[in-house]
Amino acid sequence: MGSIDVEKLYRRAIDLGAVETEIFYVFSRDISISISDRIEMVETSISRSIGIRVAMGKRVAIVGTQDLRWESLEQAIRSAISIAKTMPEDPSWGGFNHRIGVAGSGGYHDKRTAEASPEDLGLIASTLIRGVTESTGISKPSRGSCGAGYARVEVINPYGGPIAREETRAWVYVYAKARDSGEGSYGDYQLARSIGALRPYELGLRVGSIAKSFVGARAPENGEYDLILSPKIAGSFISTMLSPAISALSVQRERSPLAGKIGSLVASELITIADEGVDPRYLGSRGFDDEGHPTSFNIIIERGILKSYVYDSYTARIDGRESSGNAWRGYSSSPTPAPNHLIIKPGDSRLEEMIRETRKGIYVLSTIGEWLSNPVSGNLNATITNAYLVENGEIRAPINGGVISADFYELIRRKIALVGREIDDLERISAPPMLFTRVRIAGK
Amino acid sequence: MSRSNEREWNDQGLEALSYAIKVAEQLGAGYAEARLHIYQYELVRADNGVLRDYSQTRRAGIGVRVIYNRRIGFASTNSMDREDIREAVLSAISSARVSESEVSLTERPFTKGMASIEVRQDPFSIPPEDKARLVLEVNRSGYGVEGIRSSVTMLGIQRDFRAVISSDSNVSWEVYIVGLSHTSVAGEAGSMERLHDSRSFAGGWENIAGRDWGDFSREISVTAKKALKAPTPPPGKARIVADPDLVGLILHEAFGHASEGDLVMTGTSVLRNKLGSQLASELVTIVDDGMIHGGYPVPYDDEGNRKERTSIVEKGVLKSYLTDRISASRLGVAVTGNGRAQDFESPPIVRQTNIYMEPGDWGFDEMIREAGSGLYLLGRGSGGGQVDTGAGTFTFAAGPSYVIRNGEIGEMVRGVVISGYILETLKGVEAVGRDLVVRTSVFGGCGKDGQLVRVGDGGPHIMIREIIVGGR
Repeated sequence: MGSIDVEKLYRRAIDLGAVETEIFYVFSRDISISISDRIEMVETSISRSIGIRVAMGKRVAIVGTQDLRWESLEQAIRSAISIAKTMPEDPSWGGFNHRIGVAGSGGYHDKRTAEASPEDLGLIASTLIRGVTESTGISKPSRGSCGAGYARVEVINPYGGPIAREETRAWVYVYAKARDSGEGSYGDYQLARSIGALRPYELGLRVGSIAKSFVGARAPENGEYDLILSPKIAGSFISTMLSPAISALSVQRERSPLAGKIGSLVASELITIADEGVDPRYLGSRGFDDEGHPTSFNIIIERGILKSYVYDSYTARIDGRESSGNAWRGYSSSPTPAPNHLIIKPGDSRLEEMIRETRKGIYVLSTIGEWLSNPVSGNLNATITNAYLVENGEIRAPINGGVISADFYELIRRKIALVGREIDDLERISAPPMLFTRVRIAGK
Repeated sequence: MSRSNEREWNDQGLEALSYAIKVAEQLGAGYAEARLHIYQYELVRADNGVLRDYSQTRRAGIGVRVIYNRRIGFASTNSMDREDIREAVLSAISSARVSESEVSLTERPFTKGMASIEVRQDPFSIPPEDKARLVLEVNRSGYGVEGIRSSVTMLGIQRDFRAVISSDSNVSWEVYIVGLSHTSVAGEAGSMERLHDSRSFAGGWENIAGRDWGDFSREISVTAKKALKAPTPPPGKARIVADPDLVGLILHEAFGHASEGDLVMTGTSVLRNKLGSQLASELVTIVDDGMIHGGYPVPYDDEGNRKERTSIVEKGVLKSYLTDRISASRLGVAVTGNGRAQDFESPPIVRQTNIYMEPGDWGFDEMIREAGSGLYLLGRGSGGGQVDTGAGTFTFAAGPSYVIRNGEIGEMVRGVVISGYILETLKGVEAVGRDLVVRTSVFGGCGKDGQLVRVGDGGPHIMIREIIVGGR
């Protein structure tokens, strides 16, 4: 199950008159469970999707379909050809990716996760629920989920293929409420390649205890604070602001504040960031990217100096270089360059040391709305949902509310004071905790 | 896709739904609901004067939801083969076996019906070269403004056909929506700013043809340039006047999500046990309406319920939650027809349709004068908002906005982000305007539990006493 003959489809496109064709095929199987204080619902979904990209000279069109009957696929090819013929030329078009191949030696796939049953996930969900309920006596999970996903991706174009990659992922998420004199709430998640690597009980315990500590949380006073960001928040902020800015497409189209800054100091010397495409320990890694180019490892910022952008084959050709294997796409859209998995190099401070060294600060565990920030102007904003006030080196009152506003580049250039050592993994970024000084918080 | 292909799919799909129900019943399901979803999307994008993408998407498949031994399960397939459909039903049943939650659905009379919206000119029948030409023209018009470094224009066209069959429903509906969006990036001496805006319309190509889209993109560029020089507002609390676009966003985040019955029943919303409470000023009436002009048409939901007009808040008092059949049954309230699914791969969950505030009797100038000092916040260029319904905190971004000083509109400010509390913010509504604008978008929507659905929102201009404004 889960395969169609992409080579046959490719040959058919040539027969029907396509000058150049690329076929992108995705088979995916996802199973997930939603929970409250019990298991609510299990969902399974299987889908097969095809992207057919046709180039007639420098005229390109793409048709994506999930209707995989042969006559419908032929129809999709015909549509792509007829649209491409009437399109204006893209002067920068130089053909599909010329280098088809696979990097690394696998490890992106776990058989047990790919074949996970509702019962396997049911066990994880029950363990997660137990973790929360056993944490404090007053905490209960009110919402959450766990799941396992498998995908198989195949690519063929005039320069090679078909090649195939397989990948799996697994997750647990829980949001808990603690009811005492008032209510406290907190949510957190864990991502992994395999269901075996998930730690639902530990996550449940931690989320339940943290929820309890937020009973009576209030908005902070308006003012300047030192800001300690938990690894997930540091990762989320950096990914939101930096990922679009280091995409070669944003740079070439002059909508990146990092355009023209290769070799310049864009951050403090404390900051080194790499993009990892190959190492299977990181969730954004894969053997080849979404146009079949091998992935790679690249330093993006080294001790504050901008070293490189991330490229797909289209943008690489414009800059006269090799793609870095960073093409990402949905089945019916063209690839665009984006980081595979950013890794922020850890420093040597422990989180406790960061807290101890803070006179007046806020330790932020969760925020909402950071994705509303503006990576073009560099204006970073996020609203705090869970944080602790830190005074004279000690954690004090719980905080809910208040808006963090900052110039992101000023934060990473001048306001960064410490980079922590404990790394946490998000979907496409891994980050340590970070301490920034004197950041403006709008509050009461 | 050709029309004959299309019809064949519809016929095969509807047959497949009946087959799925039959299999589920044979296998002992107490309730079975099968949903066909056919989705067609076209996106044309120009980037800095060059046509960058012309893409077509076609999706079709079936989602099956069963209640087996009082437990619910869901599975989907995009194959119409009998064997695959049977496999999906089996998978839904084995999913139900793992569930621990006993479910009952609110009873309803048999719902039958078909709905579609008026489409005078099928947008998929317009030649691709005409669409490409339009998008390029609009893009070049915005890109041509001096000081603009980057400019992206998109045309989006969507057709969405759904049919739901169960033991107590047989409904189908079809929605077309078209729209155009433009983003300009202005840059000068190390400083950059972007501005985005879009217009979408339920209906056909007639909504695109005959408008001056070149003017639309040019104006975005001019405002982006102006915003480049604007400061951010001072941080802290402020009185605000919000325009209809922003009011829609506030309602969607501040009240809409928290009133969703699934969040209420699990205790994830601060609105739990609050029916009948005064949670907003008496001037505030909030409605969720599937068929309001300007919004995204939702005649039925994905459980096959007719979507009714729901008053969530009347004169400040919480009157109703938004519900699907599961949450309505568990909460002991009426079904409001808000069980919506992103696509055939997703089960229905409680979602908003089009949320808006009923107009009042204030004029705009009067409101600005009354505000005295504060901020006039505009939704245009806002990226949206987010809420933590459990903690009761919400946030959203405004586009380039203005300072209000001495009862008059003053200079522009940018980078405005607002934060508030669900149970407090709308108590501070001091004035509600007599205008009303509701909008939707073919380019985005609202995300929840990994599902994105199209929504609409809006309202009149309103004035709020106090809200937290982020700034530097």
